[in-house]
Amino acid sequence: MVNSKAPEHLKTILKLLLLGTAAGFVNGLIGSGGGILVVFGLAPLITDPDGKRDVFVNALAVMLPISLVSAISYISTGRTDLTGFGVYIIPAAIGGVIGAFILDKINVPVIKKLFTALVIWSGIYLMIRK
Amino acid sequence: MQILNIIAAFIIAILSGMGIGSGGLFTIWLTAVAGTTQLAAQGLNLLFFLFSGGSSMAVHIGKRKIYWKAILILTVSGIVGTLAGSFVAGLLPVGAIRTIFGATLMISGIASLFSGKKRRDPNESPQIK
Repeated sequence: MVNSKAPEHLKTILKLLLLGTAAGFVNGLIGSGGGILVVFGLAPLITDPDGKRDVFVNALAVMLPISLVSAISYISTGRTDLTGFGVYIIPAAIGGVIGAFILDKINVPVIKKLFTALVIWSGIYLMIRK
Repeated sequence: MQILNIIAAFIIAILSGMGIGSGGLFTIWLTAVAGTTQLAAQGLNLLFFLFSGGSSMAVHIGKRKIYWKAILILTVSGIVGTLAGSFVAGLLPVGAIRTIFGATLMISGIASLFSGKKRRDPNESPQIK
C-alpha cells in the first residue's frame, strides 16, 4: 500500500534541501545572510503555535556547523589571523547564554520586530559594504 | 579601548544567542573600530558566532524543540552550499551580488513591517516533525 503522506514528506525534504543549499551558498558567497534565509524558510514549516521561538533556535543549530566549515576555510586559507581574538571568547560565550535566556522571556512579537530590524539593517549593510 | 571592544562583543553576543543573528555587527565593529581588514573580520565574525551561538545552544537544547532530522538535512545541504558559494565567490563579481541580496533583504524586511497578520492553519502542510 502506498503511503499517501509520502509525497508531502518528500516535498518537505526537498524544500529543506533547497533551503539549506541556498543558505549555505549565500554564506559562502558573501559571508553572511544565510541565517536570515533559514529563519524565513523554517517559519512556514514550524506551524506549532507554541514553536515560534523554536524557529530561531533551529536556525541557530543549522548555522553553527555551516559557520564552522566557513571559519575553517577562512583560517586554513590565511584570510583570518587569530591574533587578539582570545579576548572576545568569554564575552561571546557569556553573551550567548544571556541571549538564550532573554529569548525565553521576551514576547514573540518583540522578537519578530527585532528580527525584522536586523533584516533591514543587514540589507543596508550588505549594500554599503565595500 | 579594549574594554569597549569587550562590551561591544558582549552586546552582539546577546543578539546572536537569541538566534536572531547579529547582522554582521561584529564584522563592522572590527573593521570600523578595531582596525581589522574586511576579510579577516568576516572570518573572526564566524569564529565569534561559534562561541556565542554554541553557548546559547547549550541552554536552548534542553528547553526548546529541536527538529534534528530537519537540521541534519539543512546542515548537510548547507555545507555543500557553503563550499559551492566559496568557490563561486572567486569567479563572480561578488560586490554586485551582495548589493542585490542586500536590497532584497531590505525590501522584504520593510514589506514585512507593513504586511497584515496572516493566521496559519496548524494542520496546513508541509510541516516538519
